[in-house]
Amino acid sequence: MPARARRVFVIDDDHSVRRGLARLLAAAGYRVETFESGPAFLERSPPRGEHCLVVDVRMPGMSGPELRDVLRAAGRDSPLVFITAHGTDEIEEDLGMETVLLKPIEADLLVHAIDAAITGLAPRSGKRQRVARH
Amino acid sequence: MGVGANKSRAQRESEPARLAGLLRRISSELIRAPHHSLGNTIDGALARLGEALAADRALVVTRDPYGSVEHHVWARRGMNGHARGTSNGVDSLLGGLELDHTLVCRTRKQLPAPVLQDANPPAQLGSAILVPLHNGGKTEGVLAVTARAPRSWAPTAVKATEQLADMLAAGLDRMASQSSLVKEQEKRLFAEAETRRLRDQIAHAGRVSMLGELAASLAHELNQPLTAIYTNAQAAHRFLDRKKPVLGEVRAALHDLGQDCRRAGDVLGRLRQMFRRHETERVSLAVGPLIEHVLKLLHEDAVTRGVEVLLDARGDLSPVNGDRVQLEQVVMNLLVNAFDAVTGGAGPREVIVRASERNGSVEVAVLDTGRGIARADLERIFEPFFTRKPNGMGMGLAICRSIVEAHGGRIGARNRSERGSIFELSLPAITSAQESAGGTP
Repeated sequence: MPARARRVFVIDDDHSVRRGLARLLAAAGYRVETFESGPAFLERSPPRGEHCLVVDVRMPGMSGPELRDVLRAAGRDSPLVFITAHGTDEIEEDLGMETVLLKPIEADLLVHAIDAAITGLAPRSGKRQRVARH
Repeated sequence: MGVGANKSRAQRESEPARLAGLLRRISSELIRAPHHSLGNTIDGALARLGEALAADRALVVTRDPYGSVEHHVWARRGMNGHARGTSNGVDSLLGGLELDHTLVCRTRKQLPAPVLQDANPPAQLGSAILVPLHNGGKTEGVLAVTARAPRSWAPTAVKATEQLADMLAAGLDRMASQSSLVKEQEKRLFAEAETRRLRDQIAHAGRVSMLGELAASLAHELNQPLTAIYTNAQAAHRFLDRKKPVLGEVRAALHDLGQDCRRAGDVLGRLRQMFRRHETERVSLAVGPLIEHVLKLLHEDAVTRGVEVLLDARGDLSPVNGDRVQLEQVVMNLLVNAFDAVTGGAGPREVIVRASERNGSVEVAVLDTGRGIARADLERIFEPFFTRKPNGMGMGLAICRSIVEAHGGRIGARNRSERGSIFELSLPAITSAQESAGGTP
């Protein structure tokens, strides 16, 4: 087991997807918490230490980008990776600089994206890093 | 205890019965909930309990054997000052959870210290009912109902919360176990209800292209279980590849994976059922009124987009044999495509729908004044996943073709000589001889 105590917060409205991601990320050595919505995550005390948010883009109520905006407005700059089952064309403008992974998600890409987001290696200026499905 | 002393006698008496009814409904929903929507069902249950108890929050935090934590939260409208980043503090209970029985906290002072510490701002937490979720003797979660003000919780409220905790524990247990308590019959009833819901949804289509929507939702409904399947498969590999393989988690992953395969299969089954020939209702349909009905549904869309639609239908057309909803889908899809074609450019925004009869067939043609279709695309335009629209799924025309062919008809597309394109479909007409013979050969 890799010596990672990094924590990942999964926010996705689909129960099965949450369970699958939680198990995969636990297998990859992260400590995982899952939430069925943005507001549910906001109810939690702000995480400290090394952590990353994995956020579904389209959710009923509060969308992924909206959650990001709420967090940023509150001065919370948790690293964040978006995931989506849809194309990214319509939401291009809302996505900002974050990495976007298309479902179904490749484990290695996800782990890499999370670690890159935490360590700040993801390009935060210029063109947004996009990891496309192949 | 003076609980409910300020309530009228009638209210006090009806409350236990009301709560009992509420819990019965929640219980049956939890039992019927398919694997993938258990989360939504839990959310709904929390909302109802929270409302019924006039609480400010209701939440469940659970932890699976591997330590992953799951949160479900309902908060009264206006309760969540998200911009400030509030916290209910309840997740802290899982850290060193020593809750082995229900804790009724009437004031802040009675709340467990870690909860109070993590609640932010603390003013949001004045009283609470905290109930552990017992699962096979192992505490693995907590159900909390909280209020901003101090409150002496009625015994009925405490009991209802405990009952919901039992149901949730059982529901989560069912998810984790291989066997399902749901009887086959209940499952079938659920599947049938789902199919009906989908059909109704389509039947009540308004203004938008439902086929496009159906295809998009189909893609989404399949993508979710596929994502869950794929992540579980990858997780299982990783757990197996450890020096000490974690077989319990591999087993759990395989179990979930199977559930999601079934979910994906159900999605396809529902779709198949919707379009299956013998499942569809075949009635004698007048094509003219059918087109008029679709035009009515699309009227606002046409007006908004500045499209002029002309209907040219003979009044003495023979009827056709078919499924009204499906054929309306086809006409609607062709019209929405035509709207898209004429609003794309600077040309005239004119769409003509023509209905005529020839050689024992009723023919419907939709003519647009758009840019037409590239010659190379004409042959492929009815293939699944073929699209020239930026956000298209390429399913609309493919579904149109399968519907028309299931009705024994044909559909085709060509360019008009002047400008734009024509989509034509023909369906076998019911001749007067057939009609008098009762429609049976």
